[in-house]
Parts: sequence; structure tokens; C-alpha cells
Amino acid sequence: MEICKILDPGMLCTIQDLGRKGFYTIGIPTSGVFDQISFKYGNAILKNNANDAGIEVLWGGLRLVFMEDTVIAITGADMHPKVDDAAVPMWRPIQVKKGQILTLKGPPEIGVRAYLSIAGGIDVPEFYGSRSTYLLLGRGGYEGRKLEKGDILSSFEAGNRAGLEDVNQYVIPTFSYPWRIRILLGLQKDLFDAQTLQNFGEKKWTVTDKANRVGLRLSGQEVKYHIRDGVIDSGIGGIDPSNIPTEGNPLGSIQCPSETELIVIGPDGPCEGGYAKIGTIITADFHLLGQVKPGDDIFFRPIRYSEAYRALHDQKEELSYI
Amino acid sequence: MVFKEPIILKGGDSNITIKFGDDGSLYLNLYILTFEKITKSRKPQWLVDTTALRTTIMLTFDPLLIQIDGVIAAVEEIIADGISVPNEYPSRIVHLPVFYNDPLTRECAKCFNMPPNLEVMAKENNTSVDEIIRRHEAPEYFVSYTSFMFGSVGAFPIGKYKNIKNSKYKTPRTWTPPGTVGIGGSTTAIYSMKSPGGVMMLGNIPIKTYDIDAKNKHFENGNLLVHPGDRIKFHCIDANQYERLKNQRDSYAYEIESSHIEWKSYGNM
Repeated sequence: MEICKILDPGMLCTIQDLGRKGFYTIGIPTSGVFDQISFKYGNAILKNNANDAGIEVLWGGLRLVFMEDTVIAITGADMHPKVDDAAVPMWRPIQVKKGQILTLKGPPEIGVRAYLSIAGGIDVPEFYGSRSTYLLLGRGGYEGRKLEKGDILSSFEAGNRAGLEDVNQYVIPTFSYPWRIRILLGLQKDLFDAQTLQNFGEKKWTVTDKANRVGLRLSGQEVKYHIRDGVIDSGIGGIDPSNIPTEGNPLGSIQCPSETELIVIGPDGPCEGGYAKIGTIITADFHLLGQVKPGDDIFFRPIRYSEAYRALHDQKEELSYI
Repeated sequence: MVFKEPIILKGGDSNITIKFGDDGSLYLNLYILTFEKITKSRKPQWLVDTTALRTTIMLTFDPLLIQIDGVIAAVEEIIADGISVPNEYPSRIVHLPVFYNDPLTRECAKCFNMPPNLEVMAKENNTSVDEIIRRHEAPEYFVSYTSFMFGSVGAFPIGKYKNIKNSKYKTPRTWTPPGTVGIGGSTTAIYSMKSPGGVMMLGNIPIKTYDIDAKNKHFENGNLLVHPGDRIKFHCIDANQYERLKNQRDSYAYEIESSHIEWKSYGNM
């Protein structure tokens, strides 16, 4: 069913779901929504399936017209949504009529990505088991690309799933700035000197203008490695102290290729890499990374594994209250 | 060589990296590929993905189903049961033309304020650009992994060869031309698409390493040219051959030999 037509795609809008899993060996990253939590709330509010595809809206500027009556939800960063000329709330089911125009003007005060979920989910073909757009390869989502003016999106039948009952106010996630993101130190942490490890969790990092779905480069502190003798690891990795033999890149892992810059791996990031990693953002906080923008400050807090798992289970439980 | 005890690195709440050795040898690679096969065959419910590389394998798991200590215990059990690497391993030989020191590669280096990378490599190895090219073209390469990007390759020389050692970019490039062949450490990488990268660039391959739409008939039975376990032989071509092959991308007849590899004949384990 043709559900809406894009009048203006704004800065960057892509179709995403929860991503594809199991294809790292052939170089296909997970892709999928960057802020999974906001996205999951959107589908939960509409009583969609958790993996139904929606639109990830970066920064704002999206305008679209509905071609049928439907129910939508907008979650994530507050883009000041309007239906025709009337402001509509975030994190709520919204009934829209054929011919009405939705505007997500943005930009948000905090955060950078919003999610537009539509009852039934967006109908685009699957690529390797997911409807997510993977821009580098030009596959998935809407013809493998970002949305453009004039694109017509279809949705699946919502059946009786879409509900207009109100959502429990208390469980709606809020964002607070500066960003505080929990990490687990690990992987090559022993290659870094003690001062670097200590500063890492105490001082702020600033997001540079190189920040997108592939990864984010952060600056602001000095990263020092232990001096290692000559060529490390039989030269398989390379001769700089930051070089390691190529390893898998976990989602949210933090690489340190130079003394002044970090790279955090995003959903479209390479599946492997050869730079030492100091640690990884916990799964329960990874969605926050999808809301940071150039110029934002981030404080990383190293925690224990048990805390990371507890946070993840708590988060799952909260989502179930919707 | 394979470590007596593998090193298990915790990589966050949803993955571990197991380092089985550090020499990146043919035997170590086959050992890792065998471990991967055994792990997958056990079909653990928590297993989301495996990423086998030259010295390591990363296991990604569902952190809502299992915690990291449970995965480590499962891995230790698989290893305790024994990993036996077959001596004969199926391994095709794929021939690939390379235009070394080509203008596209030099232009890209310039965009990131680097001299032509072959010059950097010549300096780091106390030799000439021509000698680096000769050393690179001579040996056969074993494909260790294809996980950087769709259609990408990470391979290393086997048999007798003269080593090339070099650094990587201090600040990785934000883009690399598709078809780029480069070296990071002793691993030769092929970039299949415009993507970030940090290895030193040697040259460019004019033909496809992947083809999702199978415009070239070769890809009708699979979108990828090479797989872990295959071998590659690079062949130096000039500017004219490069242009000609570039124009024949959709009709190019790939030269691939069916074969197998015996790790025992490559000596050290």
C-alpha cells in the first residue's frame, strides 16, 4: 500500500530496521538504526513488530505527504514535528489522514536522529535478511540510497496492531547532555599507558565534524601507548605502536589510530580493522552514540561487565512496559 | 605456529576475540578457519556472527542470551575437544591484474597529504619503488579474510618471498579508490569500494571483485570473486592494459584454477 510521498528529504533520511546479522565474514556490517532504543519505542508504540522498518531522520528538514490514513509515531531527538500546521507530540501514536503533510523541521536541541515509524512498517525488499539501507554498498532500504524528493514509500498492512492507546509517560527515554556513555575497557587496553587509561574515563572527548553512520572521530585528549620494541607481532600489523594484526571491529569499539584522535565504530563501519582498541561502548548505551553530533562533548565511564549486563536487562524490561 | 593456550580478549558485553597465534602463518590461518567451522557446526543459540582473521577470530554473541564468561567456557570446551587441521584444503588460484603506481592511487595519496605510498614503502624497506613492485608481484597469496567490506580481500604471501614491511597511515584516509591494492604490515589488502582505509597503497585492479547484479556472467553463482582459503596471483599490467580491462569489466573472463593447498609442504606449523 502506497503510504507517503517525500516532498523534501532534508539532510539525510534512510530506511532502517534493526539491521543484518551474521555477514561480517563477507564484509557486510549490521547497518540498521543507529539509536535502537528510540526506534524500538516507535514500533512498540504502534504495536508493530520490533523489526518493522522505519525512517531514520538525521538533523531534520523532512517533509512528506500521506497517501492513506494511517497511524505514525515519531521518536528519538525532538524534531518539533508538525502535521499540517499543528504541532504534534513525540513518543505518541498520531492518527494522520490522507493528504496531510508531516514536517520534521528540526534541528533538535539535544540529539541528532529521529525515527518515523508507520503502522505496519515500511515495505522495501530485504537485502541479506534486512530492510536497512547500507549506503556504502548502495543496497538495502529504498533502492540502496537515501530518500529523495518524489520517492513514494509503501507500508505493510497494519492489521489490528496499530493502537491509539496512550503510552506510559514514565518510561519514555530522555536524553541528557553532555553525553555520558558507559564503556568496557578491553581488547588492547594493555597497550595503553596508565595515564591514558585514567584520563580516558575522567576527561571529556569532543566529536569532530567527521561523524556519520560509519564511525565518529573524537578528539580532545592525548592517547599514549607503551613503547614496544621494534616491529610488533611479527610485523603482521604494522610498525606504528597503534598497529595491530587485523581483528574484528565490534560495534561501538573505540580505536586509537593516533595520539590525538579516537574512532568509534558505527553501524555501517568496517567489520575489521588494524588499529588498537581501548574498549567498547556497552550495548545498553550504544544508542546514545547515534544521538551525538559534531561539537558535542562525551564523557566515557568504564564499568564492570556485571553492570553492563544488568543495564541491558533493565532496558529490555523498561521497553516491555509500553 | 599456534599458541599452546589461546589468548581470549574481552571486547565488550557482546563479543570476544580469540587470538590463536601471532605469526599469521598458513597453518595458523587454516587452524582458525577449522575452529570457525567446528564452532558454527555446534550451532550455539547465542552465536550471532564469526569474524575469522589472520591471527584471531571474533565471536559476536547475543548478550541477552549469554554473558561473556559463558561464551569463554564454551570456547574452551571446543578447543579442549581438539582442532584438527586437514592437510589438504581446497584452495582455488585466482589471477588478478594490477596497475602498480597508477595515477589514481597517486592522486588519492596526494589528497591526504602523503607522498606516493610506494615511495614511502621503498624508504621504509631501504630499497627502490621497482623492487617493492617486484617483491609484491612475485609470490602467491593466501586469502585470509574478506570482512573489511563486501568484495574486499586480506591476503598474505606464502612460499618463498622477500618481505615488505611498512607502517599504516597515522590518520586513516576517509576514502580509498575502489580496486586499490595496498599493504598494511605484511597483509595485502584489496579495497572493493570507496571506503576509509589506513594501509599504504600500491596500485589498482581494473576488474571487479564483487558484482551483486551479476552483470558479468562470472558472478551468476555468487556475488564474490574470492573467499577465505583461496589463493591470488597478481600480474603487473601497464596503463594501456589497465584501460582496456577497465572497459571490459562486465565481460572479462576471469582466470581461476581449481586446486588445493597442503600446508605441510609450506613447512612451519
